[in-house]
Formats: sequence, C-alpha cells, structure tokens
Amino acid sequence: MAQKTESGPEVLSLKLRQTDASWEHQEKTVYTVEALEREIREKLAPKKEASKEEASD
Amino acid sequence: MEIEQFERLLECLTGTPVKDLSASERQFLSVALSNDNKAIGWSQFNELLLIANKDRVERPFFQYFFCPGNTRTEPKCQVRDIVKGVERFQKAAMLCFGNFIYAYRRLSRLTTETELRRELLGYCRDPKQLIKRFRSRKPKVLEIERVPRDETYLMGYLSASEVVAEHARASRLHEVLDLKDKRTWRALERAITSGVADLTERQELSRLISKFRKRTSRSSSPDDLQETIRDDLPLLDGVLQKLRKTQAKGEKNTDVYLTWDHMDIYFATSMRKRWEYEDLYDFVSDVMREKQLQTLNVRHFDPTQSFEKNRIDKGLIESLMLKRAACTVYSVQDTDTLGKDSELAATLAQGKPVIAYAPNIDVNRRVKQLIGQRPVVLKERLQFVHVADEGFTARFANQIDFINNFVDRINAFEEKTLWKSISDPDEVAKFTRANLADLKRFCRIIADSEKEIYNKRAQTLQKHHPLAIQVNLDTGVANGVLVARDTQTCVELLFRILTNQLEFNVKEDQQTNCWLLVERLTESVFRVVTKDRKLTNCFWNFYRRERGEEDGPEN
Repeated sequence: MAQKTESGPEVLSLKLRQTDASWEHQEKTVYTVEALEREIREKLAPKKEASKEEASD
Repeated sequence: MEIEQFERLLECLTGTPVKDLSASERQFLSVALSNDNKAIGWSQFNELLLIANKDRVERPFFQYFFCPGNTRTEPKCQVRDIVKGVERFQKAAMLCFGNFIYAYRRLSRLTTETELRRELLGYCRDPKQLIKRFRSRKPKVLEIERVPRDETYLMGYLSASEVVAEHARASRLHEVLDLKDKRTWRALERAITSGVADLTERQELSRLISKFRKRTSRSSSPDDLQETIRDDLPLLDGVLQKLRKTQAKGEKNTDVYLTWDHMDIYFATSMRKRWEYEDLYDFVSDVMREKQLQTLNVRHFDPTQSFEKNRIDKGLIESLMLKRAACTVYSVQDTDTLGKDSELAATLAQGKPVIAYAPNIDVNRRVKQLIGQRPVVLKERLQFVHVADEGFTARFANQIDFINNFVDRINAFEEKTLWKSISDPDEVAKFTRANLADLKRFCRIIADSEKEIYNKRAQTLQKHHPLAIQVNLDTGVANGVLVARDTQTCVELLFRILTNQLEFNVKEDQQTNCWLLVERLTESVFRVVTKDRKLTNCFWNFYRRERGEEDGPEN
C-alpha cells in the first residue's frame, strides 16, 4: 500500500520524538501491581455525577 | 647502569629529583653501578640511596619490591633489577596511594612485612591463594529462581505500568460497552467523557476506539469492539498474571541476593525498554557462562532478575550492591547516558574497579539479530540511535526519505495493534515477510549507527570523559574506568580483577604532565598521578592531614 511520505531530517526528528510519556512513568514511586492497579482504577472510575446519569439510562 | 639512569630511577622511586651530585658522589656511584650483574643486598642498596642524598629504606621494602619471591635471610638483587624494582614500586604506589612521595615515605619506613602488606591492601594478595579460596567456597544455601529472557522486561516500572493500564482500560471499556444504549460510537464517546474521571484516561480510551475504527471497516460498531475486547481480555489477563508472578519471583530473588554472604560482581545499568532488559540479559548470560568465571564460583547481581517495590528500595539496594561487590560492570548499551555516567563516576569514587562495556558491533550479525523484532521495538531503537549518534543525520543524509517512509510503515502497522502489551507473532511475521528487503536496509542503518555510538562512547570513556577518572574521596587516589569492547575481554578483566592478576604499564604522559597506570589488556587508564609539584604538595597535605586537626581558621 502506498504511503504518503513526508521527508527531511526535521520531519524525522518530529516523528521520532518520544511521545509515549515514558518520562512520566519515571515519576512513579511504587511499582507493584497492586499500587499501579489502585492508581489506574481511580482514574478510570466514573465521575460521581456520571454514575447518577448512567443509573438513570 | 649509567648515573643519569640511576638518578632518573631514584626520582621515580622517591617522587623527588636527585639534587645536584658532587663530583665525588658521581665517582662513588659510577664505581658502584659499573657492573649490572653485581648482586647488592639491602644495606648496599641503602648506601646507594644515601650517596644520592635520598632516605634509606627498611628491609621489608627492599625485599618486597626488589627481591620478590626471594625468601633468603639476606635477599639480594642485581644492579640491573633496580629498574624492575622501581617499576614494581611505582605500580603499587599508584594503585594504593596515588602519589609517589607519600608512598615512598610511608612504605620505606615500615619495619615488618605484615605492616607493608597491610598498606598495599588487596594488591599484594597471592593470585593462587585467591583462586583456591574462590574454588573452595561452599555452595549457596539459596539460589535465585531464573526469570526467562522474554519476561525480564516485566521487572521494569514502564512495562508494569503499561500492562496494568491496558488491562484496566480494556476492562473499563468492556464495562461501559455493557451498559445499555451504547450502540452508537457517539453514545460511547459521550459515556466515556462523562463516565471516566481522569482526562488522560478518557483520551487513552478515545484513542483506543479510534484505532479500532481505523483498522476495521466503516460499518463496524461498538458491538464489534466489545467482541474484540472479549477476545483480547484473556490475553491481557494472561500478561497481567505473568507480571504478578514475575514481580513475585523478582522480589524473592532480591531477598536471595541480599542474603548471599559473597557478592563479587555487580552488573549495573538503567533499563526502561523491553529490548534493554533483553540486551542486558544476553550480556550477563554470555559473560557468566564462561568457564573462567564458573570455576571461581563467582556470585553476581543481575538486575534483570531482581524486582524492587519502589524507587527508594531500588536506590538503596543498588548502593548496597555497589558497596559489597568487588567489581562493577556497566553496560553502556542503554538510553540513559546521563544517569549511567553519573552512577559510573560515583562507583569510581568509591575506589573499586569499574568495567564499562561498550560493544564492538559486528554489523552483519547485528542486522540478523534485529530482523524479526517487533516493529515498535525497531522504532524505539531508531529513536535511541537518532538521539545518541551525533552524526546520524549527516551520515544517513541520502537515506532520510527511506527512513521516514519506513517509520510511517511501522506506525501504520502499530496503529492496527490495539495493545502494546500483547503482540500477534503472526502479524509481525507477515510484516517482516512483506517488507524484508527494506527491513534489512532499516536494520542495517540502526546497526551502523549503534556501531558508531559505541565506538565513540568507548573512545570518550578512555580518552576524554571528565567523569571517567574520579578521585576516591577517602583516599585521594584518582581511579579510571576499564573499557571492554567484547564479552571475552570483559570475562578476562573480571577474572584478573578477582584474582589480583591485572597487568599494568607505567607511562609518562607529556600532554597531561601525569604518570599513568595503564591496564595492559584494554589500554585503559586505571590510575593517574600528577607531576605538578604544587598540586601534589597541596593535595596530599590536605588528604594526609592527621585526624582531629581543624580544617581551617573558620572551624
């Protein structure tokens, strides 16, 4: 499949720039599965207002 | 022996030049040194020193440096052997004192062999005795439980975060999709916007939905996504369970490492990406399987086998390993150069031998290793070389378009993959087959660049790096790093370090006006002694000040 290609060294630099937030992960203090699960579940949990809205659907 | 040569030798021995000799003094020496084969004993050697207005030495000093291995009551050496004796002294002085003047004053006055050997630390230990001790070690009570190569990346915080996050996102999406009235994409997006607390996670879930829609036909629906998630959840769950088991294994292994009574080698590195774990695993395995080290019952700390619950414990354990181990090996293959170089410098400052491993890449062999790796890994390796290789853009100027195009192809492939923590080997194999010629070209670019990076790193560490020579803050001795370019050299260096068989050449470096103690196998600078008299005097006045003295008038 033909790919539209942008070229030049500046374009390459942009493409290869770290975008996976790996530096952000370095801020974590605790790495156990339990601690990581607690953290992500909190973030994914419904907002309090949303839970009421979902209940009424 | 000529008088000028003897004067030079005495300057090397005592650290200070011989002051102008009178005509009669020169006459005495000329006669005494006329026959290189003439045997001289301790008192005769002292007479030579006194004629040249130098301090005499005690018997243990003369015996150890000028008559090694000679067990006679009245040991003697030949005049010609004074050269070797002085060199032997210089090496000991550089290893243990970092200074000739102080070393001579200290060692020449010791009246027993025991005191002398104590001052020379581990550098006077008999290699045969050391080998015997290693070989007679009792077996370990506890052994670590081996973590396989393809699971070592799960020890890292980056991978752990990714695995846990993707499993949690899949589960959450599954829950949201199960709620009624989420049959349209718009309704699903609304549910996520209102139903997920964290903005970043809302964006991640939206990105997942977008990825799914791109890779499927226009007629796909949230029900199709739900079905995919139902199929993928067991796989994600499998990786999560593997993560739990690997962390548990790694924790137990850390406890085993902490409780071993011996720790000889600490393999240090900072690993983040999966390939960094696997590269280090390969390196440590290649080194430690060599028979030379196996026969010594060497104990080593392998960071790919150890898990620490938090970054504070991790830091403390690393410090403990650095303190305990006889020798540290740094693999400079990773991405965190600043962190690594600082850690290397801190270890040198403790006075222990440090080996920096910067592989000499065989490009063809490396290309074969790289092909077949997951495309995202190849992109990560390209990211590394693109940053670390200063000459990358110039060297590959006529291939930039190709590289851009191939990165686009990798991105397109990865866009079809919902999850980073699981990969489909069949899809990877399909990608490899479909792009084989270009893949080889891409891998060759990475391999060429890696070769350049490690060559440069090795040269920098050996010749220029300001952190490659560090002063031990306790002793004032300036220590240098040993640079190894292949695993065999690394093995040989480790064997020599552990059995006190490192070999050195003493060199006078005109450029830096320093004496250098150069390790023979790698030609790395192991110790330096400045010839600057004022610096030497001031430095050693402060380093050798007796305890209890004030540091200065303000204290």
